[in-house]
Amino acid sequence: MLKLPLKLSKLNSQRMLGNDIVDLRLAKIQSNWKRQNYLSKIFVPSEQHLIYGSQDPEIVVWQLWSMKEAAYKIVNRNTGARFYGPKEFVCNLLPNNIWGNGTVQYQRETFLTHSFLKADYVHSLCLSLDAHPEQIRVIPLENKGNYQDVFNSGCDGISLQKNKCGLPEIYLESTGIIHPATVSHHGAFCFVAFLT
Amino acid sequence: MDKQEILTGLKEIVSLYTEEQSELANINDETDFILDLKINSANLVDIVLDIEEKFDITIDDESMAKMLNVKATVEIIQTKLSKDVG
Repeated sequence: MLKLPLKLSKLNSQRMLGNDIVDLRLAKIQSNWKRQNYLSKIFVPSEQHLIYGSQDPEIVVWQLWSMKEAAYKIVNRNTGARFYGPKEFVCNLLPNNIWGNGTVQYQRETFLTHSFLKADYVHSLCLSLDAHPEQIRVIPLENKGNYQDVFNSGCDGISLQKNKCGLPEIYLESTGIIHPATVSHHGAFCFVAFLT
Repeated sequence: MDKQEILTGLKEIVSLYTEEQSELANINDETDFILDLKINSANLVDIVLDIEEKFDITIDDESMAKMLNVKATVEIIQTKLSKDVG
């Protein structure tokens, strides 16, 4: 009985990708995650447990946050709905997984995530279950001014444009195919990602 | 507390998290925290916490989900204040 809605939601969704970047240096300036009630407003108890149980709670805060944001981008693109409901996206971290090192659960939908934890940033990619990690292409950009201009001046045969709704998409000249894209920028970093 | 007082208080709070001075100067019902004021989404929770402290109210998750623009936020503050009085 429980499996029916899962199947239905999968049928209704399309291959989707979301990403989110946190510049750790800027996050230190912009956000005080130790502020009273801050974590409980955005993280469910199981996520707070992951944070407090970690040797580096700050990294886990931004890893979980970027996972939620990346999953929200998929839901927002699928539904058109805008809302600020971080606790509706419930994160889990998976040990020893080849690609996905996390999952995000939103209502009946599960997304696979992979977070790159670097010294100066955390970058999370979030994938719908019908897509494959090998289909992901990620292009780093300098985060200066208009990312569309920066992208299009630096890449040949591939261009970044916006669709009628203002959402980013990639046009590949070689195939003539348009791919929905996800863009995230924060501080010094900008990443464009899309599924081939 | 009338709507203008709430708006003034809200403007003081959001000014801490935006660099868009001209948008802030022209803040109105339609002003969107993310699209217009370019506020980082991780700072929206600071705005919610600041509102709770300044107006001495509690913002539940359902209300927080709607707090993306000035109109919705002012309405939520008004509703919470009137409930606390009642």
